[in-house]
Amino acid sequence: MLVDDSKFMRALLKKVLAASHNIVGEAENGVEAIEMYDQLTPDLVMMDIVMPHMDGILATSNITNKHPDAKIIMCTSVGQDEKVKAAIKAGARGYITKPFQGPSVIKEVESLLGQ
Amino acid sequence: MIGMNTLRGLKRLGDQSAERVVQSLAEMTSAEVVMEVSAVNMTEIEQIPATIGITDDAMIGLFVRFTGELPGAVLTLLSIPSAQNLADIMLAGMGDEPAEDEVLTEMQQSAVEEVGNIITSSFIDVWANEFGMGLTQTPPAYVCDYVPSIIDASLARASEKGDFAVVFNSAIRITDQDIDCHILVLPDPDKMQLMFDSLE
Repeated sequence: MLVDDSKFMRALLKKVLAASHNIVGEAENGVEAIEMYDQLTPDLVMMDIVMPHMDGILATSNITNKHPDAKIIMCTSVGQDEKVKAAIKAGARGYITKPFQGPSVIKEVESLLGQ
Repeated sequence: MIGMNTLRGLKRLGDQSAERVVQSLAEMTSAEVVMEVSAVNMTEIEQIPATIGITDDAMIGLFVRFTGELPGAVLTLLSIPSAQNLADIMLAGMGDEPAEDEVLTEMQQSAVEEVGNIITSSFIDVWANEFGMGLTQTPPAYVCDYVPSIIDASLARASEKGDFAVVFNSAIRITDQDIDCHILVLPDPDKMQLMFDSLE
């Protein structure tokens, strides 16, 4: 499942991942992401941080509180130490900073799905 | 009164942030990116357009506010052809059909907004890590307008706080692609003392 307010970024991630994985849903903000996760319980979520209505760290915290086994990778332009720590504390299992290279995204996804 | 150490610190911070933007843009576009200007100016709010030397042509503006202990704004300015070229490089065949009378298609605009997002993060991540704090940014607001109007709207909050602003001005060029980009970073004037104290 992809969570990003940027139409472009969702299309880019879909292009990178769709060859080997099924994208089951796309959400544009944290509120939508929480609702969609409850409905779909996807194997993995790619989660942006900077989004309207609810940011990705709060959404991750909400999802992992209800679904402790949720596998969430933050995929964000934000690289601040404080935000990385906050995302991990919220339950994120991985952290990719934009701009990214496709192979590094696939490697991170495969690694987390294999756990 | 700003001491020499503070001035040197501000310049170093501006250079580090601009260098990070160059790296990010190079990764995004797979092109050679050069920094043409990296300057820090203390200037009257109303003199900012003249200080950075931008003409009054219509441009694309991407405005992001950041909040936290050191709040402020980042404004990324691109000429319309630069924005179109940049979007096409980013999209690499994922584009949509252009609509009549629109400067950018929906997907082009989304790609350019993402560039504004990444440029802003590149800048404020350096500041946040330097000062050991967290800064939270808003999603970019897109505007296509004449430069004085873009700057006026962007500076509305800074103008409420005082007559002067510290302006970090970076001009970046993606060579061989005819893409020029101006980045203005404007910390809120009433919180600048925190930065000065940390740098002194």
